[in-house]
Amino acid sequence: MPAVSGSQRWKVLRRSATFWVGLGITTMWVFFAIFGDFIAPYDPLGVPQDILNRLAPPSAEHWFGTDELGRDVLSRVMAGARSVMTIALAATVIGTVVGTAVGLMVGYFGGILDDIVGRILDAFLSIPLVITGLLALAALGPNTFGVVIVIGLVFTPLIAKTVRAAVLSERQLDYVTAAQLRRENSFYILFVEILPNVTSVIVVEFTVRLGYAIFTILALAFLGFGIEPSVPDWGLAISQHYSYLTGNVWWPVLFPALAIASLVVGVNLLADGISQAVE
Amino acid sequence: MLRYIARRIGLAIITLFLITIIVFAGTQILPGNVAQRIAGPFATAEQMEQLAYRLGTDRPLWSQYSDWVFGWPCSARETDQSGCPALGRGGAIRGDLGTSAALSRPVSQLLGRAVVNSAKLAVVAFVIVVPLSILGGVVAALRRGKLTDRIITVGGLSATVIPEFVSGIVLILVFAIWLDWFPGTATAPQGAGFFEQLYYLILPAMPLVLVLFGYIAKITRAGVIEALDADYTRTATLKGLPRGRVIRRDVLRNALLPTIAVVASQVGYLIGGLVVVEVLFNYQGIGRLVFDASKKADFPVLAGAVLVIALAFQVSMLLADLAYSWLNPRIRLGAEE
Amino acid sequence: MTSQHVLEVENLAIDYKIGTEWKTALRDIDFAIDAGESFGLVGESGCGKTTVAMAIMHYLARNGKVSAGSIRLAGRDLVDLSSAELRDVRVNQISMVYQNPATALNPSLRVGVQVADVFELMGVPKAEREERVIEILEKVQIADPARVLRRYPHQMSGGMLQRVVIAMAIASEPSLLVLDEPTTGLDATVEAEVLDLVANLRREIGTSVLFISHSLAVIRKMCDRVGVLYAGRLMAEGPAESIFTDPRHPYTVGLLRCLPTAGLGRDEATLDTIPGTLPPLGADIQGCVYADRCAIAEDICREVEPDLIPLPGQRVSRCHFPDRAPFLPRTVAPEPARRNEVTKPLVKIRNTSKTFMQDGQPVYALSEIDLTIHAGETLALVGESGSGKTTLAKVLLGIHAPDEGSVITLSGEELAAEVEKRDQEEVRAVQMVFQNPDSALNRRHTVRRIIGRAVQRLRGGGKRQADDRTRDLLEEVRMGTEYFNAKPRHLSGGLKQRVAIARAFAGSPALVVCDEPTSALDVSVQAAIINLLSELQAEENVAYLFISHDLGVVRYLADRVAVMYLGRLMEVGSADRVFNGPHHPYTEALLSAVPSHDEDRRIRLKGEIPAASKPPPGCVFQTRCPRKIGEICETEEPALEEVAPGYKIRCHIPVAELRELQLAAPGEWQVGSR
Repeated sequence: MPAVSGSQRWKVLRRSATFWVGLGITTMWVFFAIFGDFIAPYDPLGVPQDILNRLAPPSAEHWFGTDELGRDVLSRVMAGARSVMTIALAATVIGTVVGTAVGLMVGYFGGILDDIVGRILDAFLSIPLVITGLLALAALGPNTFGVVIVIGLVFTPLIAKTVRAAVLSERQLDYVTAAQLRRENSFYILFVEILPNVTSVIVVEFTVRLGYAIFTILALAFLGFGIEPSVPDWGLAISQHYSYLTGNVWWPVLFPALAIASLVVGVNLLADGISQAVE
Repeated sequence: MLRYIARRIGLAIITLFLITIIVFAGTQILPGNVAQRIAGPFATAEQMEQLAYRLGTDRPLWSQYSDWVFGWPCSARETDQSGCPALGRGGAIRGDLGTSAALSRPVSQLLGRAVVNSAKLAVVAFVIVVPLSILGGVVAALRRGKLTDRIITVGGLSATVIPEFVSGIVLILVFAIWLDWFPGTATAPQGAGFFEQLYYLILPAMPLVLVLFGYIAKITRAGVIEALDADYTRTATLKGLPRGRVIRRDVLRNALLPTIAVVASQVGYLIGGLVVVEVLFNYQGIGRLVFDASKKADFPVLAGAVLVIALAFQVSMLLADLAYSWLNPRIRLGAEE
Repeated sequence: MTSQHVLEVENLAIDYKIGTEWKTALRDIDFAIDAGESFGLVGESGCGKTTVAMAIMHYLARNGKVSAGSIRLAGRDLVDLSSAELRDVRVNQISMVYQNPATALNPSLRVGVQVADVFELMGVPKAEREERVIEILEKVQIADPARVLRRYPHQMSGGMLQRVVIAMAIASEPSLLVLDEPTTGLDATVEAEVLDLVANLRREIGTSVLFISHSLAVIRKMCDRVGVLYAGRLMAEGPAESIFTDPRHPYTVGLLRCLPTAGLGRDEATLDTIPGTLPPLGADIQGCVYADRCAIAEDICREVEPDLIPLPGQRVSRCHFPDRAPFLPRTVAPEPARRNEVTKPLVKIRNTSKTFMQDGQPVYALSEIDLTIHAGETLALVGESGSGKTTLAKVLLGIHAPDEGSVITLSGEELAAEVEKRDQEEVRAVQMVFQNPDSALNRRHTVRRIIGRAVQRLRGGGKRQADDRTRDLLEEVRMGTEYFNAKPRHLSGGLKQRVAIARAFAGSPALVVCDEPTSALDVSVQAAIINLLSELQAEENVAYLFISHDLGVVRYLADRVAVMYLGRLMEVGSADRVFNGPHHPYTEALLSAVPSHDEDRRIRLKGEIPAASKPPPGCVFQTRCPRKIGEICETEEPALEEVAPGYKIRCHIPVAELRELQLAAPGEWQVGSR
């Protein structure tokens, strides 16, 4: 098995259209997540601009129209990137760090530990993520921090499973035996010998999970969990306004929906590009 | 083979018990205990204590758990109706999941109706998505690297990652409101016939179809490509077999077998998606039930629903595994000569 | 060219699309195969052998295309056939046998169905097909074909599967049979059987054969004419006999010199090597592609690519100076390394067994091994795969703990069963070189780190001392310090193996276990590694436990040889004694399986090594023994008896009688390589 060199990977990546499109979209939303508040045409949090002007259709003044409280939809879409991206990032980082540690251990030591963790993992995998989120949030109450912990916790076994598989195949290789033959301790073998060889797997897993985290956070927000009502958030905006759809008031719903679609597609194109380059 | 089946069923049972522990832990150990959430923030200490006694949450955790799952030891004291745990005390393994805190009706009764409704929706979605996505994956693999492949792969990936409520909203807007081709709800009027019910379920099934399509197609495509590149396909081709026959008998036969397991594993995602879709389309299924129960912190219902969902998932995985191992001679016959 | 040629390849060029560029993999390939002739294509990995075969079969990889030239089968060009014509050619005229029989058959169809296809395509009526399948399976010497045809591929061994593939290939009695490395990956004993079968079938049905192999010995045994490929060019072509005995191309000369020749030991001469490496695919080379590695290259060689120059005796050579090729100067001085004085025992393995548990069933991987390794010697461990060689090494190294009652001592001190429990000195003393350097080196670490860490762990000292010692070690393995900061992917296979050797020598070990250290390498690289190992042994007075299936290499390197079968030692003695005989019948069979054209003394083993979970009763070898004498072999396990000083054998037949039996068919063992 010839090793794929870094420069070859970069070559594949550079020629990958999906990667560049994904990177472009993701970068745009990262930009809005950081600076959205400042460049938005109106104050996204703002007290009603004009209560008489609520649910106004798109116009030159309000490109995306206004919502039920007369707030500017465009401003709220721009600012809405922040909540979902910070929560998703935090949750994915937690899941990746803990999951990697667990996966390394389980993959390397195997045996009973592997059996036990394997069963727990199967158990977690049989409950859909959104439902675990609902269950936990029902107990915790609406709580942004809770969303981070719950999603991070649920991702842990998923990431651990992937890392475990990668470790299992690395463990077969003779460089691990060579390390054992000079009496390296398990910590050294795991973190210095094996970890560098599974980083690409972890990077791919991270980007894929980031996509799922965004998906789940928005679904929970849509269901009314996890995000405090005043915060500009796309899922929340849809849930607050979709009953207006029957009156053909589509703008407070459709624009956040398109924002969500573009962000998740962007992140996943990015993930797909990276995983193709790594393979 | 029999040993394999026994082992597989054993593993599923262990997993289900682990799930009961996870669910129980989720309702009990997480901060802000159940009694507090039910009583609200302004309850007095005395009220809290009474509530805890009534719910049985003052008793040791192991006994609450044991009551809920096995119906023991609490139900052994038939005469004493008080002091029984929050989640129920009849024993989940006997089908008694307790009583809904919000609706004061048996959880199993609520769940029964919801499961039937959800199953209808899920079947519609599966019947549409499974043939479609497998076909898509096969076509993409056979046209590898061509435009058709790119459209199916990138399109499928994009469809898969867009949350159901987003695609659902757009579908409602376009097909129910602007074009008025389909109803904007999933619930057919009372006494509707089979085809009318089906008509009401098609639009709600679409977000689920979109989410599942990309993943199944992707796995199918990968399997078909692997089989196309396999040595045995080369052998068959170089024997002089016609291409159509090589694809049917050598490529698809080997590539589609693993897809069975993949389809089954998607049941989990499907159920997750049901919550959102049923809320959006106002449909009384298990997803809607979970949603309402979590809004009201109705833990007996929530816990029961999660168990049923996990059971459904485990059963579908089990059936898929058994089908796979029965169809695969390598497992069915083992290596002995 | 006349029409009596079955296959004519003219001016063939094939390109592969790598990234956005088309790169030339093959160029100016010209050869022809006559009716009934067996033509061999030989070359190292990456030279384009398989590409030729796939071009003929019209089954190039998706990114490959024929960019020039023609391939004609019985005068008809194969390059531009319609798909219906192509299928007809595949059904009736060309067939192929592949490298890896385990993956060549559809895993979810019964073998009989897959063979029956061939008859269906030939138009045999359905009613007759099963009969024809049984007939053809009998022809490839499959016992009980009526049962075999109901099996699935996973229920059969590699050798059996290859017979089935051969059966499918010859069913239509094609005019051309293409065999692409048909025995690579099979055990030598199975390889010998498959080669015999192919030779017999060819005589019987008179088909022409294109035989592709990296093994000079196999090609020489199987072929009438030979073409030598290098970097996508045909370098030489002609009758096998003259190509191998009187080569007229420097590359062919170099390749042949890399092989340990019959009976030659390392104290007689070093092996010659070929310097440098194969140019990368599609490299734009002006002049001769081999000039960079050629010791007789002159300016013209680097400027003008030579044509295939006709030589007397119906042969051609792509060389400006074919007459000088036989006098190619050696790359390596012939002075052999000094052989160590071997006196005192270093490692004693006593009563050592290893039982694995697999699905609740015991698997007896090693059974009561008694073996001594002396300081400074090379002890070779030979036997088919599954005989327990690697398990014994891993037990010795402390990777697997042996069963209760096993004792292994190092310089008289008992070794702990697990490496973690051994002390610093013991760990330093026993190290290992692995088969596959890609797996043995951490691909994320630099050479400096790979070797330096071993120095620090095994020898102690700080980073600076480790760096110094690493530089010394790189010099010692003849690599030079310019690779100090390189990562494995920057190194060729041979250089990687040198790094692995340097790592094993980091702590000046007393014993290095070498597990097939050259079998993943090409012939020219293999020779250099063997030379290096024997030089290091002389310099460091290290002992080797050398595991190999290549008896040519073993003959060259080993002082003593231990033969293993099913976890038992069958014969242990000096290399001379074991190779010259009288041998254990199993050793006799192993030696007989080495491809050579001396067919006088052929012993072929029936079937394959039994499962270690169910060893046969009595002598474990009795189920396959060609010299089985009767009931005693089935009931009583013979002891490993020391019948002469330093020579032990496990057989019911007395040695004197073995000598008689084996002398009955005279002839010197020709041990060539692979």
